Amino acid sequence: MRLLGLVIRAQREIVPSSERARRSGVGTVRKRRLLASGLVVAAIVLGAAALGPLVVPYGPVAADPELKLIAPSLSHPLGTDTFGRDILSRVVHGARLDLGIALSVVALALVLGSAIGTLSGFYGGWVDALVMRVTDVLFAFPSFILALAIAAILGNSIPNVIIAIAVAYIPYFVRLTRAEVLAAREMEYADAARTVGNPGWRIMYVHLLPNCLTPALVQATLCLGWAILDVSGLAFLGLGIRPPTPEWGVLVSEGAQNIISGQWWTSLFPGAVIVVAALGFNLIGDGLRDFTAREER
Amino acid sequence: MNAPGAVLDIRDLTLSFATSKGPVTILEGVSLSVGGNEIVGLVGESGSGKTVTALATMGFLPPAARIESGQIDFEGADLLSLDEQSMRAIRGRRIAMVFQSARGALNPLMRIGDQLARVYQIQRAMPQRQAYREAVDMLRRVGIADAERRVRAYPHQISGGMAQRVLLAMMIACSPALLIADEPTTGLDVTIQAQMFDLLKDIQAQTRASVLLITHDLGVVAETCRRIVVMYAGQVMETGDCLSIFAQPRHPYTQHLLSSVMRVDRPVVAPPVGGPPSEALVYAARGCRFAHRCPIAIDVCRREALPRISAGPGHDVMCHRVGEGYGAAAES
Repeated sequence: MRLLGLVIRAQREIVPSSERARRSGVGTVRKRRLLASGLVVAAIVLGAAALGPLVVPYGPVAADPELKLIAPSLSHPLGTDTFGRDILSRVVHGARLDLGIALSVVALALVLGSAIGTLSGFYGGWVDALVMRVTDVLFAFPSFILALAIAAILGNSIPNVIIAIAVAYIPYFVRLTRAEVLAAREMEYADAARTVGNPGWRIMYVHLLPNCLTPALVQATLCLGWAILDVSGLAFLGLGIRPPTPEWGVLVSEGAQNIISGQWWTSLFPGAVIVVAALGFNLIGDGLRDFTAREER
Repeated sequence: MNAPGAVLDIRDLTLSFATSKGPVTILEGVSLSVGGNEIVGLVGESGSGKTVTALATMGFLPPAARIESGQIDFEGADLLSLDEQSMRAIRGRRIAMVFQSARGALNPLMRIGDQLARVYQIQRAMPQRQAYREAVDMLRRVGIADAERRVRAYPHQISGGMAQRVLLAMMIACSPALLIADEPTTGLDVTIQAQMFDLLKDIQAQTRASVLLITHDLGVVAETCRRIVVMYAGQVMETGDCLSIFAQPRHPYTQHLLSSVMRVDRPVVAPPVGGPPSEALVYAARGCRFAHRCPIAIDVCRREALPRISAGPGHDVMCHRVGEGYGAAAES
């Protein structure tokens, strides 16, 4: 029996380390599938945004009163709306707008948030205290409510929507980067950089920030999904982007009035696209988070 | 004591850290000097204040640290009174420091050539291309074969020993007057350690920089340094010529430290004393911090501030008992 135990233990020892990591860890097959499906969805949405408008048969605002509110068919796969506009064409054009806005929001929030977070973590003291209290205040509101308020103040235009949502997301990036910088500035490479005479801004933004970006980048993918929801949510409520612009939230809101009269397709398809796109980016974010958490251990 | 021509002269440095239980005195009355063109070894066990002394010199003290008294004179200026702006002008150009973990001291996301070249760009305002050429030359000088190819490597792609060479290259790039080496071979295997110390000696001889070598390895000190400073729990115990201290250690702590080195030609002489310094003693107001482990301690050791007793030319012992004449003749 004892011998058997030894053999089993020996066999356990010779299992290759990659195999052991795969068996034991967070990076299970299921998680990887979720990450992969997120990537596929994102690729489809991005592809539709990039190439779709060249492929779809109708213009986004090309109305044909003869063909209003027809059900999904071969010539109009997702049907048409009250003005006889092709819903598929509008959804595909909307992908470009929604993704463009979402990407701008996240880029703006990531750049500003990580820059402020680095500053706050590096200098500490009253700078840090001030930044942290401001983020506390921003965190006190749900990000959508905050974006709603800012958008209402700024007025309806695409840049204003981007600013409004980005401001609501900045605190997340500030916190994440600050926490990383707090740890990284104690690392010897930070001291070494100071030793050879690097000025403070250089240590912060050349040495520390690039080493502290991983959590913020993961957050950025998650935020892409949220941003799509928030942009279309604002538009649905009539803030930011207005009809007849082919934006997903606008499409849902325009179609909503037809649901009771039986034309379910006008709202359902744009709504489904919002859900799928947001879900896709969320899956990527979740997958990356597990992946990087394991890498950093 | 104020050594003439000293590059670095630390005088009576007392430093405390703020903790939740009140201030804790980390260094008490530390004095040491490093002369021009010499290697001074700073030895002591972990927690004896070696690294804090180095950090104070670099101006890298954590925010919790408070200087109670003392001066750190470097090239005629008191470093403790300089602001960050002036310190930056001194760091890298006049004082540099090699850190314990070389790999940790290199930015993991930057090619080693870029990191090294940047030192020239910052300190000498060299154009990038020229800085890069200098970097390759410097890598060759610290014994990195194939330097042209290695400059493009990232820190994780090179070995620990090579990382230490790269770090050394970064630190001597601007030929500083003083190089502080804080246990520069931690985590390297023994043959590489020997190579590193040989390299350090070579570089020192070439650049004529002064070196403050922090280590707990007495063998290294014996081979590398001309003078040594022995620290215990934040106090300097004994300082002097390497030869005279190794031949005739006067302080009971130094005696125990030396006898703890295993040698093939003799049995272990002194029985081990006590454990590490206790937490309570850092709150103690005055007196010798080694007293609670010292086999010959008497009451006065625990009460009175340390005296500085001369035990020969350039050889000072901070011990009450030595002052009374203990050990003067008893040494073999």
